[in-house]
Amino acid sequence: MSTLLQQTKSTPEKMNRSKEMKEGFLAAIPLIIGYLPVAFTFGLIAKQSEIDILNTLSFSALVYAGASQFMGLSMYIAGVSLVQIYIATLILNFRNFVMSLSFNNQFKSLPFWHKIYLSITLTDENFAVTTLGNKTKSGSQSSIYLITLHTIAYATWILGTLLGVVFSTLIPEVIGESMGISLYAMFIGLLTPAIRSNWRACIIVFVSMLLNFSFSKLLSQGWSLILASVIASLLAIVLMKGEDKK
Amino acid sequence: MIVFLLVLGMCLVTMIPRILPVFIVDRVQFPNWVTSWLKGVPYAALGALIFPGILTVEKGNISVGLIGGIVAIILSLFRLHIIFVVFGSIGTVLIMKLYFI
Repeated sequence: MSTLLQQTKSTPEKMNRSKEMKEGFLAAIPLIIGYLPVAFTFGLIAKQSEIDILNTLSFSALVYAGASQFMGLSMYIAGVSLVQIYIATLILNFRNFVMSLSFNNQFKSLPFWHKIYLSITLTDENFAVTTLGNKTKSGSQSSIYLITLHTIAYATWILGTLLGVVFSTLIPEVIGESMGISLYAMFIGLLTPAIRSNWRACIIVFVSMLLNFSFSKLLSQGWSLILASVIASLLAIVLMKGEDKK
Repeated sequence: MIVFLLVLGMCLVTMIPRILPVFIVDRVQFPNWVTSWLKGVPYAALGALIFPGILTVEKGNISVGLIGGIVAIILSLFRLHIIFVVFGSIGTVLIMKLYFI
């Protein structure tokens, strides 16, 4: 009797669950397209630099930060000291601190360990999907949706790296190079619908672009990204004051 | 061995900044202005990530990234699914590289 009750109770929950997983998977598809060629390239470069496969895979699994991995590897090959590489990586990736703050503030109510996992696997790209993606979908704020999205992105990154090491001559060069724009196109594809009817957000975006453009002439890429994001988002204090209750 | 130290150190400096906010947000009650500020972060971060980085898609030729980006904007203004935006943009760059550069 009790099992029967449990069953009838859990069925709609299960359906909801698989629906949220499906939505998480669909949201991850552009990430898969964007990540595979970049991770593939990383695997390829690491192989050319004679890094063994285990270290190459740990690179992608433990660091899990696109630009930082390329930078760290090239600095290492150039013979830069480890401490200098650590500092440069910290600066380049520190924007994720600001993103993680924003992310954790938005998903405050999720269970602690879910937040830990989601924060560890937070990247520019899945941050863009979760914070700017279609929020009208029912499951887009749930743990299952978020964990599915983050896990698929993470697995793609590692798998792509492996493929790059193993099949270093698979993708013709011109196609591989043309895919360099895919992550930018994904950012644009997420941002445009989010700001087309929101002039306040639009202002923040353009101010941030302008600031990053100016700062990048004077500072390293990492500092420039952090300062531009922090300063431009401060505009939200004035611009988005009344939107809190929406 | 030294490569593993490289990976381990880089792991720490990329993971700690990502995890810290879990504890900060849990313990600190942000005033309203901080909450508004954090709501602006996605827009600002994405703006900075797109520009001027997109101009470096093709080394020494900013028009490739620029046109690829404009195509992405136009496609997403038509409310096309993001996958078509991505493929449209890749296709544009591919055509430019094959026929114009």
